[in-house]
Amino acid sequence: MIVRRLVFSISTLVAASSTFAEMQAIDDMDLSEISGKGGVYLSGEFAINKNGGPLWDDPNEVAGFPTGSRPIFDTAGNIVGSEECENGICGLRLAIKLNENSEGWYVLDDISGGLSFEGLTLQTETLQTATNYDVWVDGDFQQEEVDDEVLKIGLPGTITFNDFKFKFAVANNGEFGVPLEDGTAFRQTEIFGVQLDGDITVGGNLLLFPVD
Amino acid sequence: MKKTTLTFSALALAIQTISVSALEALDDESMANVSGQAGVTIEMNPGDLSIGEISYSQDGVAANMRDVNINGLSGAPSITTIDIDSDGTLNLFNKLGAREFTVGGVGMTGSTGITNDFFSLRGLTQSYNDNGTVGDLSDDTGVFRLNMGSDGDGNLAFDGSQVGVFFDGLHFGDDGMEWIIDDLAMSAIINYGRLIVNDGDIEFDFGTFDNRGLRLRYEASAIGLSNDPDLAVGNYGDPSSAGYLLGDTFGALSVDLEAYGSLTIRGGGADIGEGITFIPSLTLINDDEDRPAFKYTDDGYVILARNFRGDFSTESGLTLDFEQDDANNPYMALRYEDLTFSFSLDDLVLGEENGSSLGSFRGQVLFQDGLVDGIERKNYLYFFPGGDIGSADGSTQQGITAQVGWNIVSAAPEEDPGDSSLTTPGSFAGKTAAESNTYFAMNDDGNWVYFNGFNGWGEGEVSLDLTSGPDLASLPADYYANPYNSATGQFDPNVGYDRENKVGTYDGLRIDFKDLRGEYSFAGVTVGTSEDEAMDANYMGGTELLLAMEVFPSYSFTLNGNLTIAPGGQINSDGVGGTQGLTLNGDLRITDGDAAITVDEFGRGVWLTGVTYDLHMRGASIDVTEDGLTFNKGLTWSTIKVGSYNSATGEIEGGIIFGSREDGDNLGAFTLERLEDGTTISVASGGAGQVCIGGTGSDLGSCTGSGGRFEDRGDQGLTIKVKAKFAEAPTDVNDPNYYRYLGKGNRFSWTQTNGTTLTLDNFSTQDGPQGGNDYGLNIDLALDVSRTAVRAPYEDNDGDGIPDLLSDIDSDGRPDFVDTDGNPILESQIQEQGPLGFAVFGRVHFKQLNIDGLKIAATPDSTPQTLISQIVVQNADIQANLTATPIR
Repeated sequence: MIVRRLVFSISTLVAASSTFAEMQAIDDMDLSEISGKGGVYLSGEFAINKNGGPLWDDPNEVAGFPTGSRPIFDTAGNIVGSEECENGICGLRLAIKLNENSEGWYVLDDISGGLSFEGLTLQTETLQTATNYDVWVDGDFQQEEVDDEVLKIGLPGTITFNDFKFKFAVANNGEFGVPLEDGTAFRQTEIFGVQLDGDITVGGNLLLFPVD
Repeated sequence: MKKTTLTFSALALAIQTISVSALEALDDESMANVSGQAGVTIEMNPGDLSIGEISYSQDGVAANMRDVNINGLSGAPSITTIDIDSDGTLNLFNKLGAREFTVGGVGMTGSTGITNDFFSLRGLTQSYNDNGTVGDLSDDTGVFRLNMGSDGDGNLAFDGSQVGVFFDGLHFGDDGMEWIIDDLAMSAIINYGRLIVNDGDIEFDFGTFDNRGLRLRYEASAIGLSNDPDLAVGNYGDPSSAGYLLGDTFGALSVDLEAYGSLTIRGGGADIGEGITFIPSLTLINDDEDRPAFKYTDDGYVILARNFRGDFSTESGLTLDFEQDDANNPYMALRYEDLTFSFSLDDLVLGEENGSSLGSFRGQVLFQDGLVDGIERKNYLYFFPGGDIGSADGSTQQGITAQVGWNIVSAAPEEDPGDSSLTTPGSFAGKTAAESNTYFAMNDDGNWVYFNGFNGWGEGEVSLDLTSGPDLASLPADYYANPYNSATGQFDPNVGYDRENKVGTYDGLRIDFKDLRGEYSFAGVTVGTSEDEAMDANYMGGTELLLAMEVFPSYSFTLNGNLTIAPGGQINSDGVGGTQGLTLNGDLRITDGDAAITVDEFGRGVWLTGVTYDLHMRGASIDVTEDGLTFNKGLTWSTIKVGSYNSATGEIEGGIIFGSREDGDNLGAFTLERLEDGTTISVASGGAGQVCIGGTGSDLGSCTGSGGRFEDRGDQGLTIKVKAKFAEAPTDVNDPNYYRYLGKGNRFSWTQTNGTTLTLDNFSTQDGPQGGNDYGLNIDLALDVSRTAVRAPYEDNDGDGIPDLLSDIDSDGRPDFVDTDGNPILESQIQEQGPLGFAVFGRVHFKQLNIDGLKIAATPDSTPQTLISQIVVQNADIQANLTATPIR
């Protein structure tokens, strides 16, 4: 069964993220077969905070600090300082507190940039055989007969990163620049940063399917 | 009052009785004047006229108007001139006088005497007025003109006949409430009309495209509601002034159309016995740039349509029968075995009257009776007099109850002759694909996108009533109650404002659904530069985009509950007078739902099965603003429960199914609870415009300079903006929202097939550390049809394991870009020659999203453990800018 579908919805992404993902290297003959089949062919880009975000880059929203910088507050909610973002563009900030009793937050901060591609393909098809990587038989992993509907994501060959970056940090509060209730000033320590620019080559397919 | 009963076998005669009136004697001098002229002039002033009942019956069941009173206002006689032309044409010209009238009940009576009413009626008409344009009949009101002669071929000709009426006010009453149309002008003119008597039927011929027979106009300055049955008819003041008696209204509406084609009428309905069959083959058209076909005005902003054309046709005809159900309740039955309605619209404007156009649209709906799995799917409308809700004292029960059935069809997709793995829109025997599919299409800068291959059927009961709601100052305790209990995972049948055993009502027109079962599906999206090309193109995805408006690409459901529409929106754009627009309140429950998140033309995809969707809206609205059409969800709380975990068996019933909904793999069950306050969904014109993919920059030079690819997707297109405001229930009892939000929240839980349950608890949006919840979580979608970059596939013809570069005209070491036929092109040629795709520029942006925790439990019934205590996401602007083409 070959289908031509776009999978846009957030719900699907939620569902898909819970499925078992298996990366299979495929040879060029397989590649050529795939290119001849139906499905949807996507060109375009994904980007995060390409031109900044709505919280810290909108001059109309919070008065008292310059655009492209992040305000730091005191316990009364007054702006007492600001931190300038790199190139004047503030990225997305994701803060996670694992333990209720902990004061520490893990932070992926200043996530921004994009990746563009031509030829990401999406199709679903019925998989007849699959490799069982738990069983080694006759010098190879065992091939098993299956009958699974899989979502096959054909990777585009070349993905171009456009100034994609993020920082890993730890902080004492989830909200940037907000002191703790006891008056302790906001504090964040950056552990490392990552920046990606240029082309990477990714071939083959990503198969997504549910398992028990 | 003297009881008079008039019974007629034709409705036309019933209408004419309104003109029956007292004759006045002419004196000799007047007689002399009359004889000296070309015809006869009759002046009539009927005084007060009372008729007990006018009825029209079929097979023992009658439609009737009871207690008809017509008050001929003093000094307003009707003047009729009768003349016969030299060619033998009878000219009857009746300048109507002003009349005030009331009808106690418009209803039906069954053979055993059961009588129910649809509605009562009050109105006030104005006398003859040519509106200062002697030569232009289209704006004449208070007129009845009949020109009847021979066309020379043995048929009757009605050319030049007209009817026009102006109501100062027209009131439809339902148990004391009234639906009021202020300053309503209606007119119909026959420019060309022939009555042809055939063997067994009569045919009205209304000409052709070049000789359009009919001109139809309808104009209402305001439509409102009143709960005062004694409100004086006619003079309510100015809709845009503060003292307007109708207050908030739905707004103004005008329709201006020409029509041509034919209408055949045959005796006998769908069954044995009496009845009427109508066979229309009519085209409604308005291709005049200066006159909009439709115009709806809401606080100064408009929905306006120009260059409209709509075609109705049926082979079997529409049959009208009067019948009775098993309990001898009378009803009016309208049936159609087949009916095709297609339309095209070149210019749709939302917002400013002189604003930019949303583009061109086309659509077609094919109704066809069918038989699927031994079950008949029929098209019918049965109208029963009497609605669901009676008057407060129970003495009357006016309203309309309709039993409806529909079956909308499209031909099954067909294999692409060039590639067996692809499909194209199918066609029925002897018809083209364009004639064989139900679709909705949009034109964007010369390219068409078709939401194609729609199939849908359903049946159930819908009733209409005018109702009044509770006083806002003393709302019932359960007005904001949530029947879903998160702790038990169950809906409580005894909780809620509109549960079955306790019907809460709101102000407005209440539409009540009872076991309305239905299902529908789209085969997919096709694109092309013309209709022929789009109907010949391969199906691909894209209907998933409708999810942004909570419309599933494929859905089967049972709907119960109600939606009440009241006049006046939430946005008073012009700030004067009452607010115009629509306000919505409702309590709806969908059960036994199977919904597709994404699905192909063969029904395989990702399905949500065993769905219960419980939805409550308070103060939602639809307004037209300068930004387009805006749906404000008001305070909305809802629960979507997909599948359920059976604690006794440890099994998931229903759930998220991957593949075919009957036998696909199960991903488990989930529940999504939402509490939104002020979420808006708006539709506006203009797509993504100029975009830079893979770089930054607003023009070609700066974009390519930053390593990006520049695409100009044109001025047209469609923008859908969803601004979701997820609210958090306060703990402070003094908070003004405490009772509005009580017992509700935003929560997502997913139970896997082994029972393991993940719960994302209490998510809400916020405007940053300083609080507030105005920005919300925004999903912006800009839709375009445009040419895009597609690269040739890798090939390895020599078998050396290294992809061959058969050609590399741009010397970048990668497969070349290709055109529609697969020929290599340069990047600069994509804009002109690249394959046509469906382009979506999606953005998700929000200032701050708080999630109170991620918990895990062995089963939904066991104590959960905290995985993540808190999540905060700030300053997000995530974009996906994609163009989809079918794989070739």
